[in-house]
Amino acid sequence: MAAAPALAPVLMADTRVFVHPGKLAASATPCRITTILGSCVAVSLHDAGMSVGGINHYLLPRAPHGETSTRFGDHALPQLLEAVERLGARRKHLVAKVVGGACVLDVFRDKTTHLGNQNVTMAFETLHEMRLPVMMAETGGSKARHVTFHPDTGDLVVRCL
Amino acid sequence: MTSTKAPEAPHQAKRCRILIVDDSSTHRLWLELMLGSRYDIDVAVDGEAGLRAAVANQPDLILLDVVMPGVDGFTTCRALRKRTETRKTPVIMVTTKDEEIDVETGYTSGCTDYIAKPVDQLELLAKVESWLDASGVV
Repeated sequence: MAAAPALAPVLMADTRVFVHPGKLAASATPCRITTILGSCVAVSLHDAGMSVGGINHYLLPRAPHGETSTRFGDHALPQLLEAVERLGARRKHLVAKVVGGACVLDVFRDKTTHLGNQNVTMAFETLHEMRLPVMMAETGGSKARHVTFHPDTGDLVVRCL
Repeated sequence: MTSTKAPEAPHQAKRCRILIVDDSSTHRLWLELMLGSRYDIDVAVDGEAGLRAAVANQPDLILLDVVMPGVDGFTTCRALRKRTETRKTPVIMVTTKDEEIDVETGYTSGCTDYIAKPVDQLELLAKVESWLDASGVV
Protein backbone atom coordinates (compact mmCIF):
# COMPACT_ATOMS: atom_id res chain seq x y z
CA MET A 1 0.00 0.00 0.00
CA ALA A 2 1.26 3.45 -0.81
CA ALA A 3 0.08 6.88 0.09
CA ALA A 4 -1.81 8.88 -2.48
CA PRO A 5 -0.94 12.57 -3.00
CA ALA A 6 -0.52 14.96 -0.14
CA LEU A 7 -4.21 15.46 0.57
CA ALA A 8 -4.99 11.76 0.84
CA PRO A 9 -4.44 9.95 4.14
CA VAL A 10 -2.35 6.81 4.35
CA LEU A 11 -4.91 4.05 4.75
CA MET A 12 -4.06 0.98 6.79
CA ALA A 13 -5.82 -2.32 6.24
CA ASP A 14 -9.29 -2.64 7.79
CA THR A 15 -9.38 0.97 8.88
CA ARG A 16 -12.22 3.39 8.31
CA VAL A 17 -11.52 6.87 7.01
CA PHE A 18 -13.93 9.78 6.70
CA VAL A 19 -13.20 11.97 3.69
CA HIS A 20 -13.92 15.57 4.58
CA PRO A 21 -15.20 17.93 1.89
CA GLY A 22 -12.44 18.91 -0.50
CA LYS A 23 -10.30 15.85 0.22
CA LEU A 24 -9.67 12.48 -1.39
CA ALA A 25 -8.46 9.07 -0.30
CA ALA A 26 -7.10 6.05 -2.14
CA SER A 27 -5.90 2.61 -1.11
CA ALA A 28 -4.89 -0.82 -2.34
CA THR A 29 -5.82 -2.55 0.91
CA PRO A 30 -9.21 -3.50 2.33
CA CYS A 31 -10.67 -0.58 4.24
CA ARG A 32 -13.78 1.56 4.35
CA ILE A 33 -13.81 5.13 3.10
CA THR A 34 -16.89 7.15 4.00
CA THR A 35 -18.14 10.60 3.16
CA ILE A 36 -21.39 12.58 3.32
CA LEU A 37 -22.72 14.54 0.36
CA GLY A 38 -25.35 17.20 -0.05
CA SER A 39 -24.80 19.31 -3.16
CA CYS A 40 -21.21 18.06 -3.28
CA VAL A 41 -20.17 15.21 -5.55
CA ALA A 42 -17.94 12.18 -4.97
CA VAL A 43 -16.34 10.23 -7.79
CA SER A 44 -14.78 6.84 -7.16
CA LEU A 45 -12.27 5.14 -9.42
CA HIS A 46 -11.47 1.42 -9.23
CA ASP A 47 -9.23 -1.05 -11.00
CA ALA A 48 -10.61 -4.50 -10.24
CA GLY A 49 -7.54 -6.32 -11.50
CA MET A 50 -5.19 -4.48 -9.17
CA SER A 51 -7.73 -4.12 -6.32
CA VAL A 52 -6.96 -0.42 -6.13
CA GLY A 53 -9.49 2.33 -5.66
CA GLY A 54 -10.03 5.86 -4.48
CA ILE A 55 -12.72 8.44 -3.99
CA ASN A 56 -12.87 12.22 -3.83
CA HIS A 57 -15.38 14.73 -2.47
CA TYR A 58 -15.49 18.10 -4.15
CA LEU A 59 -17.60 21.13 -3.33
CA LEU A 60 -17.55 23.34 -6.40
CA PRO A 61 -17.29 22.51 -10.10
CA ARG A 62 -14.51 24.81 -11.26
CA ALA A 63 -11.50 26.38 -9.60
CA PRO A 64 -10.73 30.05 -10.05
CA HIS A 65 -7.54 30.91 -11.90
CA GLY A 66 -4.47 29.83 -9.95
CA GLU A 67 -6.29 27.43 -7.61
CA THR A 68 -5.43 23.72 -7.73
CA SER A 69 -7.30 22.52 -4.66
CA THR A 70 -9.28 19.28 -4.67
CA ARG A 71 -12.23 21.30 -3.38
CA PHE A 72 -12.91 21.89 -7.09
CA GLY A 73 -14.08 19.21 -9.48
CA ASP A 74 -11.73 20.19 -12.29
CA HIS A 75 -8.78 19.41 -9.98
CA ALA A 76 -10.28 16.73 -7.74
CA LEU A 77 -10.76 14.30 -10.63
CA PRO A 78 -7.27 14.49 -12.17
CA GLN A 79 -5.71 14.29 -8.70
CA LEU A 80 -7.80 11.24 -7.83
CA LEU A 81 -6.65 9.60 -11.05
CA GLU A 82 -3.06 10.39 -10.14
CA ALA A 83 -3.58 8.94 -6.65
CA VAL A 84 -4.91 5.58 -7.82
CA GLU A 85 -2.32 5.32 -10.58
CA ARG A 86 0.42 5.81 -7.99
CA LEU A 87 -1.01 2.82 -6.16
CA GLY A 88 -0.79 0.68 -9.26
CA ALA A 89 -4.13 1.19 -10.96
CA ARG A 90 -4.05 1.00 -14.75
CA ARG A 91 -5.91 3.76 -16.50
CA LYS A 92 -7.52 1.58 -19.16
CA HIS A 93 -8.93 -0.73 -16.47
CA LEU A 94 -10.45 2.00 -14.33
CA VAL A 95 -14.18 2.45 -13.94
CA ALA A 96 -15.91 5.36 -12.26
CA LYS A 97 -18.94 5.81 -10.05
CA VAL A 98 -20.56 9.19 -9.47
CA VAL A 99 -22.66 10.10 -6.43
CA GLY A 100 -24.18 13.28 -4.99
CA GLY A 101 -25.31 16.60 -6.35
CA ALA A 102 -28.54 16.72 -4.40
CA CYS A 103 -30.77 19.74 -4.00
CA VAL A 104 -31.66 19.28 -0.38
CA LEU A 105 -35.18 20.64 -0.15
CA ASP A 106 -38.18 19.50 -2.14
CA VAL A 107 -39.09 23.04 -3.06
CA PHE A 108 -35.85 23.44 -5.05
CA ARG A 109 -36.03 20.35 -7.21
CA ASP A 110 -37.38 22.03 -10.33
CA LYS A 111 -34.29 24.20 -10.59
CA THR A 112 -31.71 22.70 -12.90
CA THR A 113 -28.93 25.21 -12.42
CA HIS A 114 -28.27 24.62 -8.72
CA LEU A 115 -24.81 23.81 -7.44
CA GLY A 116 -25.46 20.08 -7.19
CA ASN A 117 -26.32 19.86 -10.88
CA GLN A 118 -23.25 21.89 -11.81
CA ASN A 119 -21.07 19.51 -9.77
CA VAL A 120 -22.62 16.46 -11.42
CA THR A 121 -22.18 17.93 -14.90
CA MET A 122 -18.53 18.60 -14.14
CA ALA A 123 -18.03 14.97 -13.11
CA PHE A 124 -19.53 13.53 -16.29
CA GLU A 125 -17.78 16.02 -18.58
CA THR A 126 -14.38 15.45 -16.98
CA LEU A 127 -14.73 11.66 -16.91
CA HIS A 128 -15.72 11.77 -20.59
CA GLU A 129 -12.66 13.87 -21.41
CA MET A 130 -10.48 11.45 -19.42
CA ARG A 131 -12.11 8.52 -21.24
CA LEU A 132 -13.05 6.83 -18.00
CA PRO A 133 -16.31 4.83 -18.17
CA VAL A 134 -19.04 5.49 -15.63
CA MET A 135 -20.49 2.20 -14.45
CA MET A 136 -22.85 3.63 -11.82
CA ALA A 137 -24.33 7.02 -11.02
CA GLU A 138 -26.68 8.07 -8.26
CA THR A 139 -27.05 11.81 -8.52
CA GLY A 140 -29.52 14.63 -8.00
CA GLY A 141 -32.64 14.21 -5.94
CA SER A 142 -33.51 15.96 -2.72
CA LYS A 143 -31.73 13.87 -0.09
CA ALA A 144 -28.21 14.09 1.29
CA ARG A 145 -26.27 10.85 0.98
CA HIS A 146 -23.92 8.83 3.17
CA VAL A 147 -21.40 6.98 1.04
CA THR A 148 -19.22 4.00 1.94
CA PHE A 149 -16.56 3.01 -0.57
CA HIS A 150 -14.41 -0.12 -0.44
CA PRO A 151 -11.28 0.67 -2.48
CA ASP A 152 -10.15 -2.95 -2.86
CA THR A 153 -13.45 -4.23 -4.27
CA GLY A 154 -14.83 -1.00 -5.72
CA ASP A 155 -18.11 -1.54 -3.89
CA LEU A 156 -19.91 1.70 -3.20
CA VAL A 157 -22.87 1.79 -0.83
CA VAL A 158 -25.16 4.80 -0.75
CA ARG A 159 -27.58 5.54 2.08
CA CYS A 160 -29.97 8.46 1.78
CA LEU A 161 -30.22 10.61 4.91
CA MET B 1 -30.91 40.83 17.33
CA THR B 2 -29.23 43.64 15.46
CA SER B 3 -29.39 44.58 11.83
CA THR B 4 -26.94 46.18 9.44
CA LYS B 5 -27.56 47.31 5.88
CA ALA B 6 -24.59 47.26 3.53
CA PRO B 7 -24.26 49.61 0.53
CA GLU B 8 -26.42 48.74 -2.44
CA ALA B 9 -24.77 46.41 -4.96
CA PRO B 10 -25.46 47.98 -8.39
CA HIS B 11 -25.85 44.71 -10.31
CA GLN B 12 -28.45 43.12 -8.06
CA ALA B 13 -32.13 43.97 -8.47
CA LYS B 14 -33.29 42.55 -5.16
CA ARG B 15 -31.16 42.53 -2.04
CA CYS B 16 -31.61 39.29 -0.21
CA ARG B 17 -31.64 39.11 3.57
CA ILE B 18 -29.42 36.62 5.38
CA LEU B 19 -29.69 35.71 9.05
CA ILE B 20 -26.43 34.77 10.77
CA VAL B 21 -26.92 32.75 13.97
CA ASP B 22 -23.63 32.37 15.85
CA ASP B 23 -22.62 32.98 19.46
CA SER B 24 -19.10 34.08 18.47
CA SER B 25 -18.84 37.79 17.76
CA THR B 26 -15.66 37.11 15.79
CA HIS B 27 -17.37 34.61 13.52
CA ARG B 28 -20.41 36.85 13.09
CA LEU B 29 -18.18 39.75 12.12
CA TRP B 30 -16.18 37.59 9.72
CA LEU B 31 -19.33 36.34 8.00
CA GLU B 32 -20.73 39.87 7.82
CA LEU B 33 -17.52 41.06 6.21
CA MET B 34 -17.72 38.31 3.59
CA LEU B 35 -21.39 38.85 2.77
CA GLY B 36 -22.29 42.40 3.79
CA SER B 37 -21.49 44.06 0.49
CA ARG B 38 -23.97 41.82 -1.34
CA TYR B 39 -26.70 41.07 1.16
CA ASP B 40 -28.59 42.63 4.03
CA ILE B 41 -27.53 40.91 7.22
CA ASP B 42 -29.39 40.14 10.42
CA VAL B 43 -27.59 38.51 13.33
CA ALA B 44 -28.67 36.46 16.34
CA VAL B 45 -26.41 35.22 19.11
CA ASP B 46 -27.97 31.86 19.97
CA GLY B 47 -30.47 29.29 18.77
CA GLU B 48 -33.49 30.71 20.56
CA ALA B 49 -32.85 34.23 19.30
CA GLY B 50 -32.17 32.81 15.85
CA LEU B 51 -35.48 30.98 15.75
CA ARG B 52 -37.36 34.09 16.89
CA ALA B 53 -35.59 36.26 14.32
CA ALA B 54 -36.17 33.76 11.53
CA VAL B 55 -39.90 33.46 12.21
CA ALA B 56 -40.35 37.21 12.66
CA ASN B 57 -38.26 38.44 9.72
CA GLN B 58 -38.36 35.44 7.37
CA PRO B 59 -34.88 35.84 5.89
CA ASP B 60 -34.06 34.45 2.46
CA LEU B 61 -31.30 32.23 3.87
CA ILE B 62 -29.94 31.30 7.30
CA LEU B 63 -26.31 30.61 8.29
CA LEU B 64 -26.48 28.53 11.46
CA ASP B 65 -23.69 27.67 13.89
CA VAL B 66 -23.99 24.38 15.79
CA VAL B 67 -22.18 24.83 19.10
CA MET B 68 -23.97 27.60 20.94
CA PRO B 69 -25.10 28.12 24.53
CA GLY B 70 -28.63 26.92 25.21
CA VAL B 71 -30.27 25.53 22.09
CA ASP B 72 -27.69 24.15 19.66
CA GLY B 73 -27.80 24.50 15.88
CA PHE B 74 -29.14 21.01 15.19
CA THR B 75 -32.10 21.56 17.52
CA THR B 76 -32.64 25.02 16.07
CA CYS B 77 -32.67 23.60 12.54
CA ARG B 78 -35.29 20.99 13.48
CA ALA B 79 -37.40 23.77 14.99
CA LEU B 80 -37.03 25.88 11.85
CA ARG B 81 -38.25 22.99 9.72
CA LYS B 82 -41.37 22.59 11.87
CA ARG B 83 -42.44 26.21 11.43
CA THR B 84 -44.40 27.08 8.31
CA GLU B 85 -42.62 30.46 8.10
CA THR B 86 -39.18 28.85 7.81
CA ARG B 87 -39.87 25.34 6.54
CA LYS B 88 -38.55 26.12 3.05
CA THR B 89 -35.81 28.59 3.96
CA PRO B 90 -32.32 27.40 2.96
CA VAL B 91 -30.28 26.71 6.10
CA ILE B 92 -26.51 26.35 5.80
CA MET B 93 -24.75 24.96 8.86
CA VAL B 94 -21.48 26.82 9.42
CA THR B 95 -19.57 25.08 12.16
CA THR B 96 -16.35 23.67 13.56
CA LYS B 97 -18.16 20.34 14.05
CA ASP B 98 -17.01 18.52 10.94
CA GLU B 99 -16.83 14.86 11.94
CA GLU B 100 -18.95 12.25 10.18
CA ILE B 101 -21.60 12.07 12.90
CA ASP B 102 -21.90 15.87 12.98
CA VAL B 103 -22.46 16.21 9.24
CA GLU B 104 -24.98 13.38 9.23
CA THR B 105 -26.83 14.94 12.16
CA GLY B 106 -26.86 18.26 10.32
CA TYR B 107 -28.52 16.82 7.26
CA THR B 108 -30.99 14.71 9.24
CA SER B 109 -31.87 17.87 11.18
CA GLY B 110 -32.97 19.44 7.91
CA CYS B 111 -30.09 21.65 6.85
CA THR B 112 -29.67 22.46 3.17
CA ASP B 113 -25.89 22.52 3.15
CA TYR B 114 -22.95 22.16 5.53
CA ILE B 115 -19.80 24.29 5.67
CA ALA B 116 -16.91 23.65 8.04
CA LYS B 117 -15.07 26.47 9.79
CA PRO B 118 -12.74 28.09 9.05
CA VAL B 119 -14.96 29.33 6.28
CA ASP B 120 -13.58 29.67 2.78
CA GLN B 121 -15.05 32.81 1.22
CA LEU B 122 -15.28 31.34 -2.25
CA GLU B 123 -17.19 28.30 -0.99
CA LEU B 124 -19.48 30.42 1.17
CA LEU B 125 -20.37 32.85 -1.61
CA ALA B 126 -20.90 30.07 -4.15
CA LYS B 127 -23.22 28.17 -1.87
CA VAL B 128 -25.15 31.21 -0.68
CA GLU B 129 -25.67 32.41 -4.25
CA SER B 130 -26.63 28.96 -5.46
CA TRP B 131 -29.23 28.35 -2.76
CA LEU B 132 -30.70 31.82 -3.08
CA ASP B 133 -31.01 31.24 -6.81
CA ALA B 134 -32.46 27.76 -6.38
CA SER B 135 -35.04 28.98 -3.91
CA GLY B 136 -36.21 31.56 -6.41
CA VAL B 137 -35.59 34.72 -4.40
CA VAL B 138 -33.13 36.22 -6.90
